[in-house]
Amino acid sequence: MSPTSGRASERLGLAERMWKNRLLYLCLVPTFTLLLIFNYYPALSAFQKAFYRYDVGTKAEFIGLSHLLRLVRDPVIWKSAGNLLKLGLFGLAAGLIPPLIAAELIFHLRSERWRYYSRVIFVIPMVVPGVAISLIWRFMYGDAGPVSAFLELIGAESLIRGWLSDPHTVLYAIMFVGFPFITGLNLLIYYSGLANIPDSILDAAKIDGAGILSTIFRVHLPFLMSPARILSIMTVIAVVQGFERILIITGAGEGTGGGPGYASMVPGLYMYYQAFSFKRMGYACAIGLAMFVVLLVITMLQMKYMRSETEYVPE
Amino acid sequence: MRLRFFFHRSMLAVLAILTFFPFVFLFITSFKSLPQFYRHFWIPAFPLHLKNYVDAWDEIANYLSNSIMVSGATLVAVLALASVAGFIFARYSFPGRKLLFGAVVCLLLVPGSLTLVPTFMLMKDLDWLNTYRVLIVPFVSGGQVVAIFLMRNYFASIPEDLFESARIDGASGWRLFLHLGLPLAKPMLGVVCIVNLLGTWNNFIWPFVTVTDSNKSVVTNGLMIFNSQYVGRLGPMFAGYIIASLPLVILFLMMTRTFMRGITSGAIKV
Repeated sequence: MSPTSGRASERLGLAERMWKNRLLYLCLVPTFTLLLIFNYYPALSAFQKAFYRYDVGTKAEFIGLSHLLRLVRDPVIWKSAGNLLKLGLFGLAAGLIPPLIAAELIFHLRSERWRYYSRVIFVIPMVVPGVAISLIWRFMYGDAGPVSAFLELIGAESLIRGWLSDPHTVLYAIMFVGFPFITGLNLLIYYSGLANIPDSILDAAKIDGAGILSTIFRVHLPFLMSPARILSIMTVIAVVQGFERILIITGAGEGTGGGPGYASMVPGLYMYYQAFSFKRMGYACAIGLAMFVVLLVITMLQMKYMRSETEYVPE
Repeated sequence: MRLRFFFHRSMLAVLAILTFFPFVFLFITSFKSLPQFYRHFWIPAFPLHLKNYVDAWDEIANYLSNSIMVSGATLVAVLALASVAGFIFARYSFPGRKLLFGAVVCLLLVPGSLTLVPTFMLMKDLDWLNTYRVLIVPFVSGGQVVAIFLMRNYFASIPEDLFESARIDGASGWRLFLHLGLPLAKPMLGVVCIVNLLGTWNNFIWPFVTVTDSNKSVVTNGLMIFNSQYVGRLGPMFAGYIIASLPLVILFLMMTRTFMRGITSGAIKV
């Protein structure tokens, strides 16, 4: 069916087509040069460096799987993984449920104007720098802070403790930051999911006499599976990688975060310290690589598992 | 019936109050002096100490201008590169198009944790630490990825007839792009602006590890420096946090619709 290359046909050879489009390739050169140097090279060299000893000051030497072995035997890694698991589960719940409640509350408002204003209100905190928020909460948990003051106010002084200096409470204190957990982005995603439900179905439910709660559970929820899937993938990626908040709240740049004594350490933060405090670049890359693999596996599992949900296809 | 109305509205109000409580507390306290703070913990105290803001401004102004410069330069570069690349990927067909575009998109899979240390090492080797370059160039390169994805999708959705009629009138590639494609793409360009701006302005960890010179620091890592200098002086310290948070909030309130659209689009890319 395909013409032979000898024929003078409409089909140009590959090289000829490329030459014909040379201007296009030229325009793409800046883009790809940047990508190659600043995106592909670091990503690939992470793989390479993970197998070398790259301590600052010593010569780089190939040590094969030594880092990985060290990783597996490192107790801090396991403690931080456990912390990450707790943070992840809580983060998932906090990222999926409160925004949904808020989205439903807003969706059921009567006036379109108020529905818009409410969304705007909950989105505003998203543009505040995370650093400021972490610093604020660091203060709030301090001796002079509102958390302790509030407990004093309601007469529960016995509960007051050094939230950040007590290894039993520090992880939970970190989880609680951001209460009531109505992330603007999550809210917007849920809301657009609700807004996309066909009116015909909503009307049918009303005609059938469905009350609000049963409408929510039996009519809205199936349509919210898709946003929920997106959100859970995003939340997991963010939690597994995120260590900035912990760094600032427990360390504030003074170099001893993740404490007290690893009670709030997570793998991302451990990687940070290995690289920038201990200067063990190779080991840090190995940690980063391990995190990437775990993240990839979790994400793929999530996408596979959630794809099997029945999705409502609007007619 | 009435009861449910009240319950509904007040639930929402309570959630909003809880969400904003830390910021309100911050705002109130930023006008207090220390003695005022100890005596009136929860409620505003008069007279208002505006001097707190003056003190904080002296420190933070420099960080703000650096942030504006870095984020601004990054944004301009990303808009230029991504609109061209997105246009090319969307409206032209050439060998390797799918491959090249796929190569761009698969970078979306790469998490920051993997690339943080190697990129830092690269900066060190290039001797770029403590410069403005180190803050701008990697952001441009990374920001391209999302932006190209968004722009390409948008350009692909424009009907071919518009371009056909322009081509018949004799317009060539560049003119098609500049005079037809770009103006049509204004909404999506706005989205890219928002997504990129939010990503670069609030980024903490990269400036934190690459720039230690306080003259070149941006708002995010500057706040940490500021924080350590003002320990114990809650009034000016909080004034500083407020000043640091204001620019984006003001921008958001001025361009709310664009922001709202941008935030959702930036996420649905997954």
